[in-house]
Amino acid sequence: MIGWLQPSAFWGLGLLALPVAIHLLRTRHARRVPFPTVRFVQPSSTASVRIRPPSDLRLLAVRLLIVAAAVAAAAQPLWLSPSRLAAWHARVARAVVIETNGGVGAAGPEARRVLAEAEAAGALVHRIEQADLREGLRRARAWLDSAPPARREIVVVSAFRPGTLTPPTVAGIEPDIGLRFVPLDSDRRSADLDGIPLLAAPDGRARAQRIRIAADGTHVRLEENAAAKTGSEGLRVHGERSQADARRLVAPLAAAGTPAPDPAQPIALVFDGTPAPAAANPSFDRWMIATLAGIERDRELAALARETEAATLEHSEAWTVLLADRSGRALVRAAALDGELLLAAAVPASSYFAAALARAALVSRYGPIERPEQEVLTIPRERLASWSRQPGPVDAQAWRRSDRSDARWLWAAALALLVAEAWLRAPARTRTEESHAAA
Amino acid sequence: MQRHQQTPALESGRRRLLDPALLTALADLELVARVTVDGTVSGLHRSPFHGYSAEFSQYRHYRPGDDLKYVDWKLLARTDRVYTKQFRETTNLLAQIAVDASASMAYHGANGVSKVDYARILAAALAHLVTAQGDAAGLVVYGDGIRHYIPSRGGQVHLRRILVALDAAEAEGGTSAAASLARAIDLLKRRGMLIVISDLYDDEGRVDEELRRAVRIGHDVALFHVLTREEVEFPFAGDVELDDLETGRRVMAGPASAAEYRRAIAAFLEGWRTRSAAAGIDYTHVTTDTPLDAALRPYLLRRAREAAR
Repeated sequence: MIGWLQPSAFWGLGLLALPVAIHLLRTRHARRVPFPTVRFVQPSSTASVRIRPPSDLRLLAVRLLIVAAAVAAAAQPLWLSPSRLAAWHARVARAVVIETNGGVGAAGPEARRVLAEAEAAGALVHRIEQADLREGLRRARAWLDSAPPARREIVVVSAFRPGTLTPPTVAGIEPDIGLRFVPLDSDRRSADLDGIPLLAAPDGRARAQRIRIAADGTHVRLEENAAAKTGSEGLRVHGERSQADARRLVAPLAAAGTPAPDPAQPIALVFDGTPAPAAANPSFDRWMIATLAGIERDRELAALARETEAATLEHSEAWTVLLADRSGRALVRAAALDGELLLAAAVPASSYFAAALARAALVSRYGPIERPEQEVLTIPRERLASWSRQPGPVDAQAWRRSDRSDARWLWAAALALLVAEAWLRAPARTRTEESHAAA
Repeated sequence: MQRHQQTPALESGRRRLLDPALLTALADLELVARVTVDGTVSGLHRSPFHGYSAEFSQYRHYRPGDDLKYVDWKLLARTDRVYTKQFRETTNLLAQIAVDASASMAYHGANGVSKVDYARILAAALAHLVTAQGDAAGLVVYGDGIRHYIPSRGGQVHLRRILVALDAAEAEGGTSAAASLARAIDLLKRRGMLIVISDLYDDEGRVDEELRRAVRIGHDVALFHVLTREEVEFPFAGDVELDDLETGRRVMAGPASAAEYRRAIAAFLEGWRTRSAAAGIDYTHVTTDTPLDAALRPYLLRRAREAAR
């Protein structure tokens, strides 16, 4: 059986008309011959070009065969011999998906071992490093769909934390694709990590958070750090009563478990009754913009703002309004001054909204609090084993993905025919020249 | 008439020597003429040219145009038949050789011998032959008019003048054969011989009329109709665009044209042969691949027979 990888090339068979047309419409180049008199010559009614039967059928046949061979070669024929099919069945196209999340990945011993095994087995190996296993599987399937004919397999090298691989994801993979799961760091039963530095009352000093994650639960331990700076260095309140106002704010913030401020990214709060700094400007640093975006996204603060009655704020182009009160008046606005993020709220410093704004600002400045890589639980081995399967047989349409064809034999045939055509043409030309010479 | 017995090898060598292709390669036209004549007249004991000298040769039937002073009145009284006396003379013949040098004569066949080359050698040989017998030879080279005229005289010096003029004759321009021949006939002061060498591609009627006039006046007229083998056989197999050498007209000829052409040229040749025979013109058709002796010998034999009669 023969398959054609580029069947559209058969449109080129239209080129067969070319040699036929050349033979039919061969230009008759009438030689110019001086002659003593043309008085006895009956002018020929033939034109210099005319249709006439092909004079050399062998030459025409060879030329047709050249075109046909070239077109067939361009169509990329593939002889589906039993030996070739057996060779396809014997090899495996293997996509190795390596999870890179959480410091594990290609450099790990398991990944190296899997890749070395695949290469030693002579498999077609494609390595995919991806933090998200679902995306890695999608890329693996895409590669397998274009891989040369072979049995297909996906090997997943991952820690297999809960949620990284779900039954629907596995079920979406074609049944003929084999699956193998290689767990990473499978002996780990617990993890120790640093938690969020928390604001502590009453002086706003930061306390370190030590977390131990284990199969039996998560243990958090707070450590006093004498060297830690006070919260007032990263969070301050403008105005004459700034010290008192700041201390008043720290207590509820510490009670609510708020991340400690960072003196490198200082935030200043301006409450009702305190004039806004005249030099404030809207030139925000990158961290300021991220913090303001977090404040805007804070649903609890937004809900609280809708219940709050704001005092009247003086209009200024330098300030950017973040939140409005229930009447639509500006409630919270922001500006920058000397590397400090200024947040002005049209509420008193002692109000609940003031504390909520300060907490939202500190949480937003710290950023997302996620440590999925520290997960010590994994998808059970039994489940992974139930998902594992051997690669299925090569599918019937796999030959369409073949990266090589048997076109070279047809090209060789076309070349041989070209030589034959030249050989056939040479005597014809010689005959013509001889007849001309004789004339 | 007898011919010397010659060995086959000698005959073959002489034939090769008289090959037109070989002769045209020789620059010395005098040598060519001598070789041609030597190779042609061997075996001819008697002069083929006869004039009207006092040495009686023979009687022949009177032909219109014969000078009445040569009529034998006594014989007429005895037999009631009109005879003209012929005389053998070697100095009294006036031979005017008219060579066509129009552009059509430049055409040459596969052997490379053009018609004008062939005509030159033919004319040189005839002039040499006439002069060698002590007769007077003249030359007219014509094309679209008379280009060169040398009156008929005898002697080797005069022969060289003729040969130089023949050597310089180039085939070019159109042809106006009838007018040129008319002038050549008028230039013959007394009865003589007019030898025309041409391809006769002109107004056949007018040329024929002029030649008949020459016969009527009393001249012996010989016509060498020179063509190439290609003009007779038209060997072009495929389509050819023929370029008329004289008019510049172009005609596309195909395979069907060849047969038509051969019929037309055969009719053309037959027409000249018939008309010449009817008019008493000695007509010889030669192609440029014909050895010179083969072209001249039949004519000379006819002349010799005529002289013997």
